Amino acid sequence: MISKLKFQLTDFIKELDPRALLLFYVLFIAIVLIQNPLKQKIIVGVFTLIFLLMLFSGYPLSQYIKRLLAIYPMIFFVTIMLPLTDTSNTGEIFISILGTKIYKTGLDSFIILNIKMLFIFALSLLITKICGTFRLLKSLESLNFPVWIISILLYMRHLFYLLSSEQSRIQTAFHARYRYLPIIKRINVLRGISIVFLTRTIERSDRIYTAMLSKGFSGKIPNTIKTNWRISDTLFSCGFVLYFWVILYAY
Amino acid sequence: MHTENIKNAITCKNVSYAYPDGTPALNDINIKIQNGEKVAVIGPNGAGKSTLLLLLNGIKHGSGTIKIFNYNLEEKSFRNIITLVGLVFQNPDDQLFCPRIYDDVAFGPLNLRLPESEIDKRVTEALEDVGLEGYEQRSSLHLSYGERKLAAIASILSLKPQLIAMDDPTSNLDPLHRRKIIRWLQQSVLTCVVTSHDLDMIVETCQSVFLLNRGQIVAYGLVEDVLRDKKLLEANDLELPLKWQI
Repeated sequence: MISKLKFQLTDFIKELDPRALLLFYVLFIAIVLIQNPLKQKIIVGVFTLIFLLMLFSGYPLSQYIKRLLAIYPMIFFVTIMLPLTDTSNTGEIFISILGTKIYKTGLDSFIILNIKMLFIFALSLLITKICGTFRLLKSLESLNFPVWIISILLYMRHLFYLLSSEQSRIQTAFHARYRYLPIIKRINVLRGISIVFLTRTIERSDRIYTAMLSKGFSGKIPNTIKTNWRISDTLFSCGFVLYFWVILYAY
Repeated sequence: MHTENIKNAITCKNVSYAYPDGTPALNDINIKIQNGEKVAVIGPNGAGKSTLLLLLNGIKHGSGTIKIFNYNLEEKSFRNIITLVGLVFQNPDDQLFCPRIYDDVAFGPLNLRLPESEIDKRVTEALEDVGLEGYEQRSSLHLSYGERKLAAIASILSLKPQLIAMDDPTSNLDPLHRRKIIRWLQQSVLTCVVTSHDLDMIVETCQSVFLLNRGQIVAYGLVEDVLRDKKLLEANDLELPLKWQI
């Protein structure tokens, strides 16, 4: 019975109109970004929501965790200087390591920003997994987003897919040939490979554009996916608005 | 567009092309290809074969005159050119960029703003033509390389071109898909211009052949004559088709 319920919930989530998910996404980001400080009840509420959606999205949790772990170093390095700054000018030092002062307010900001960005990335990952990039872009089209932006996003998505295959091939070749070189030589080889990769990116993007022209591209990448707003989408939209109201104001 | 009564599908007069950095790619090309003919363009790497195809499709512009079914390419709008000449690229991944095969094959007709019923019909016919019926809802990312090549051909066929240009259609294909493409070329009534290093495929599918080297036409004639000339082929860094080497 639990499996049956899980399947039903998974089907429900997968069949949601991308516009409902986009609305949810925008509201979610607004709430997460605006909240300062990020209260514990909001962290717990948001985490529970994302966890449940991931659980019933039809994809293994491990896949999400792997992707988030891959993204996290970027978040970390972008925010790494925050603990070294006294963001509220209180002068309160959390700890001093070898003369380097780590400020309490800076550290708090670092932790909060990391949590917020992780939440946003987790939800972004979830939404693209649930409805797919093309359905999402189709929903932007139905929301009257400029056609040229959607065409560029679709084009970039395809280019990114091709380049990531290219990058993994280069990486495999690099490991096969240069793994045992001293680190300085490996860095030199990597530098050369990066230049080659950049050149190939430009060539590839030009070829894709030429191919699009050969098929009659006129500024818009037509998308025949149909989106349909149903009662379940209204229920979902009302549901998440109520949920956010509860975690923000109910107690 | 009725082209049945037009004798020459392609007429190139004094066509030359140089890359933006000034490197000459094609020099004084003069070609006549008859309506319904299947012609191969062969040559070593860097001869200018792919560049010639891009000129035929109107994507690149050089000097000289190119006429496709008596239409001067320069005078035609790009939209009209794609209904005359369909170009299938060597790498199908460059040409398949939509979520589903249906979208990729419908891409051309959608850009021509055809009615939905006509688009559906063209997609179905194009996929049947290449043996990919039932593949409409599949993603091109989940197809094998050979299937993607066939899907790329279908995406051009849906435009109903009068002439189809294919850049190395059998490269990197397994024997099964190579055979499918050969069979398609044999059965097609369209005028076809094919560039390839697969000389055995050319023997089976084409009537005449142009030999291109360093941007110039070195030889032209029937497949039987040109591809049996061992000295000519070796002088241009090629060799006899395998079936004639034994």
